[in-house]
Amino acid sequence: MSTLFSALDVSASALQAQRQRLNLLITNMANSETTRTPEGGPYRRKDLVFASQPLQSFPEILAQLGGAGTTLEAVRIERIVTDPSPPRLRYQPGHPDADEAGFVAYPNVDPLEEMATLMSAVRAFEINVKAFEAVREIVQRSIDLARA
Amino acid sequence: MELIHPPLLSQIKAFMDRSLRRQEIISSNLANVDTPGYRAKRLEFSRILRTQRGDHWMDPSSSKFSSSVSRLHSRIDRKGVAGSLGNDRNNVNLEAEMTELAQNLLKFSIVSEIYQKEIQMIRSGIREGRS
Repeated sequence: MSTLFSALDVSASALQAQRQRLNLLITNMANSETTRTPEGGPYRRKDLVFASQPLQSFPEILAQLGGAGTTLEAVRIERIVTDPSPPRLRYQPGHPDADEAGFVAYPNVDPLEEMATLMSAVRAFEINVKAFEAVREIVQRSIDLARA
Repeated sequence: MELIHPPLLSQIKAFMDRSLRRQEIISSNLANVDTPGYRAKRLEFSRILRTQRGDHWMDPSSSKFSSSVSRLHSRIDRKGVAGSLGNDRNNVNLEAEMTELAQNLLKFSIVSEIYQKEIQMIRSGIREGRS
């Protein structure tokens, strides 16, 4: 049983996961100076946890009944976590959100760290596009065989 | 029945099946490039070929060969892939995977080209016999 299109599903799951990660990164970057949130206090940096997940398509389940293990592992976002590290304090006595000592709590977002993660997410997205294209090429070539 | 079931075509079929299997594994490894704790998988074909070689030279149409290939499915090596473990205990080697990806695609292209030539030869054989 060919699971050719499942390979596309695996790549698609990675594309989706990386895009979600990019969205989160952008949210972090956009709110790197936000001192007011609906929950109160400064914005807290968000992060996500990836987990691998064996791809369970119907033919795969049938194959498992036959004793063969699954080869495909997709990726999914297990959960979104809030970074518990303390906010950065900046001395700005005139700021409306300053405490009695004159310190303003700014989000615990480090732009350098976010940029590094951004690059990694973009790279991961690109290589999964490559994998997707490779599978598509194989399918296309298989179709061409019928024309020979 | 050399013409209807040419040995080359069944070898090509076996090769393409393997090629697909390998592509699936590469896709999985690449999808999990940022998953903490994920261990890269690899299709261990060459080792099985080596153990087969002694008594049965690579003939993919033989039942022995196809049974060993179907056994490959459960033999996917989960921890044997050499690669440094990062902080996240993930050992997917990006360069190795991309090389594998390119090689696999090229091999598939070559083999599909051979398949088309084989079909063309059979076809021209039929045509010449007719005249």
